[in-house]
Amino acid sequence: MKENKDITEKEKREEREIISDATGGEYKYGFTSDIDTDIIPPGLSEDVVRHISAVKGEPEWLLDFRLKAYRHWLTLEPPTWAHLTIPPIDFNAISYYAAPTKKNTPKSMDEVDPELVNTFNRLGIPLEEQKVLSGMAVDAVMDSVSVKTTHREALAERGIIFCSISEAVREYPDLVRKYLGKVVSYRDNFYAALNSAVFSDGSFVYIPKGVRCPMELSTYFRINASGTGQFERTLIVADDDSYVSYLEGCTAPMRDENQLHAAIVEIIVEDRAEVKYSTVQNWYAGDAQGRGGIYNFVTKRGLCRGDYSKLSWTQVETGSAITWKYPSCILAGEGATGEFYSVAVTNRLQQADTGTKMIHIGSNTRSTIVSKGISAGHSQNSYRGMVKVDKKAEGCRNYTQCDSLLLSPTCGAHTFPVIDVANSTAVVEHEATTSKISEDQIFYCNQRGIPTEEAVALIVNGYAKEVMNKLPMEFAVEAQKLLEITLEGSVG
Amino acid sequence: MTAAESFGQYLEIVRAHGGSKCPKAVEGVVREATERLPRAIEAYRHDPEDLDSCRADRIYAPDYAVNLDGVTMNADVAASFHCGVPQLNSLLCVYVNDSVHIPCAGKLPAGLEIYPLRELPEEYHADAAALAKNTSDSPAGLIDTMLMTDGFYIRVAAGAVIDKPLQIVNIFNSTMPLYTSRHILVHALENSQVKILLCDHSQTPQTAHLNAETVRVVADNGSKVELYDIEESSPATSRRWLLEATQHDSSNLTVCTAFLRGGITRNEYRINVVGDGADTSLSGLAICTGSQIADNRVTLVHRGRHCRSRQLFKNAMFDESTGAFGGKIIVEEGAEATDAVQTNRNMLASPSARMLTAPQLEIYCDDVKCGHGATTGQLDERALFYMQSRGIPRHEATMMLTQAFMSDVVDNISFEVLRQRLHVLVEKRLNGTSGSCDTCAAACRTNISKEEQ
Repeated sequence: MKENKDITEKEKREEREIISDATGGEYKYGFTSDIDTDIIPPGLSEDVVRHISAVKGEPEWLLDFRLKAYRHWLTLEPPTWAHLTIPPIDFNAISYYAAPTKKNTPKSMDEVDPELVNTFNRLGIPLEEQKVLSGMAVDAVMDSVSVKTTHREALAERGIIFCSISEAVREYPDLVRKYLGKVVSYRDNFYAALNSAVFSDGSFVYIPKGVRCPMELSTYFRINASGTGQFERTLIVADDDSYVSYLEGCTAPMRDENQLHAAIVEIIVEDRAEVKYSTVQNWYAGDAQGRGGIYNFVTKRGLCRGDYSKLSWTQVETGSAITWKYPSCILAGEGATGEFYSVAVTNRLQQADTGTKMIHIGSNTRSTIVSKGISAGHSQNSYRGMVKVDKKAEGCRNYTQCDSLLLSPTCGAHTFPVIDVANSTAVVEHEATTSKISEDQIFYCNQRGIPTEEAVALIVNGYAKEVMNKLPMEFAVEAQKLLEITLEGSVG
Repeated sequence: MTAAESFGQYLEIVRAHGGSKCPKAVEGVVREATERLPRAIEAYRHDPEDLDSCRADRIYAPDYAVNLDGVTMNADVAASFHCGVPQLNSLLCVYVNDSVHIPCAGKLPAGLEIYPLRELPEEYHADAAALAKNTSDSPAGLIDTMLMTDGFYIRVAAGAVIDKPLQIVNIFNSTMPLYTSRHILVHALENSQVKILLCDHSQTPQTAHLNAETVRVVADNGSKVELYDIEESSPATSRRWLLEATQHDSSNLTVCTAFLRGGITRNEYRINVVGDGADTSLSGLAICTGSQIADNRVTLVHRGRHCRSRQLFKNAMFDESTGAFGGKIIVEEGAEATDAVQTNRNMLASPSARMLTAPQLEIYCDDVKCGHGATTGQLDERALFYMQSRGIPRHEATMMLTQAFMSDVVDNISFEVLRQRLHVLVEKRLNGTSGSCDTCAAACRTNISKEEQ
């Protein structure tokens, strides 16, 4: 009997060690590359907004848009409704623009700053290799200005536009003007207003009618300069009968001070078009004491304007000190489909408040939400979602499943869904469970010779699989790796 | 006038009157609530509870009178207000507006004590004050406490098992709009057992009535408290019902509310499970027609270990009615081996009906099993078709299926007589016939049928 007790004691100790290993793992991507950056002094004023606009050589209408957004932003307060403890942010201590000093667009890899290439290599994103091997077009965003865009020609042949948003403003002003701010207005929320005022760069994608994008489009964001907020703005337009799969990956180097990232992603999906947007977010989450780390406050929204259009969000969130992010779908077209698949992992003192909104406006629209939260350490992980069915939307269907896995006695997992149905033909289902890894399952694995560490990894991977399967092949591998790094594949 | 402005007015009225005439036992509680009120109103003005604000404005819109002097409504209680469930041999208490009547006072079984707060023996003052204490910051709740002129104090002695259910009949009878602040304090001592049935009736269905009823329960170690509530008032009634319960070790709390007839109803359940091994079961059903609003809010906090809780709330919404459910389970750090499940099922039976659901989980402990499920939909078209193909008219088929949909909430009621009764009431409600009790006093029934004609 005593022996048994010893064994359980031992197991418990092992489990604790595994947890501390996992939680103690240092951030693998924490390094700073010394590239000269052109930074304007910290602070935000109309002059700064004008300066950013002038540096980028923007037309008058865009400056007006920025100024309107800035003036509106001044009237707003940061939102406090999320289940997050956000230390007060001094918006005047942030520098709103940083650009690599090399202004000439490199013609080949040789012209790219070797330090930058090295940075990407250490991240496991060799541009050259990826270009050749995976057939991906990579638009790498180093701080605020796009430094390299690949596969442009291959895409151009099909009429696809994939470029940085500043370039798009110069070359396709009518297109940008037509769509910019149409899904996420500058009046939307505090961070959306801020982004609209000072957005630095981002990607612009336009897929013409009937075109199926032949490759996965990908952008890597990387915050590099110390003390700079990064304000990305992505705009994706999929015209009738088109298809595109867009990947967004994020890693940032280690910093002591907190950095703000307030991005906007807008997607417009026309008749019968389909957009698949995948994110792997692995920004620096702060150290074990909760120092440093990125504040990730993102507004992502897609408008399924066309009939039978489809928008699918897939996200794997492993990084950031604080995540505030709700990729949403407005299902306006008849028979439109919205999907949201998410794995959010929080460890140490990380906080995440993430989820989605599915707004059913068109008839026979369908949406699926699958959210998997994994919390460890002292972290807080929340799912916040809304499913709204408009009075006029007949025959809508929603299925929501959000599960939480708890890996330590000190972490928190929360679920805050809101379901608002105003049409009697709608069928809306919501299901949520919260539990720790079942001891039966671990025991079963142990019994078959699988050590606890591997058993836990197995169970966690299985748990997240439903979402991981939705990621494109190239991303799934990296996402899997990230899960392992974040939890060292061995939480218990 | 907004709710916040109304709150301010009630405070002014009470101040101008030099305070309300509150029972001696709860003087401190009332004073404290009154003192905290201005700040609470101010906070509410800046941040009205998000989902609630529009309804609060509607609830407080009529110009209600308040009974600050605690004037007693005299009534021949036994004769005209008896509203019993057939074969339910119960101990009867009556609340006429906000006056307390205890006709069963002479017939109480050993171990059960019931007092009006005004006549509470000195020895129980401290206990009553502790029970009545209002810790929330809700201005509406603080006003209820401020307006407390009387109430029931129910004490179940340690080890006493009260077989006979205690029935508290709430009756409204007034020719002018009235705000009644009703208070029921229940203290179930160790290993005691008690069943309480509450029902709401309106004898003057045309008069606007704000029925604010607060039930506070403390369930000591090993006690078992069952609480059932049936609301059958009038469309002119706005009801704010609050159950605040504290559960100690191995206590058992069962609550079931049925909203059959009324105007706007907001039932709030604040359950605090502090002891280990406690069991909580909350359930509710609402059948809404016309422009009725039924809103159930649950905040269930698990602090103790090895506790189990079950929640089941079902709504059927017809016509332009609105239903809302807000459920929150909080599992605090250290509440190991908690097993909590929350279920909310809703049926929309009309194109203009609306349902708002927010089932929430806040978990701060890893050794838990928590789940919630919420659905909003309609009756199965195939089942309806099947029944029609067997010669049952669609209307009747709809009724039968809705009744079946509600039946598992009703089945949660452990005592047979009431369960049968509620099945019948639900059926009657769906039939559109008067839901009032057959055995009810003539006054009550005639008034309701008059209103329907």
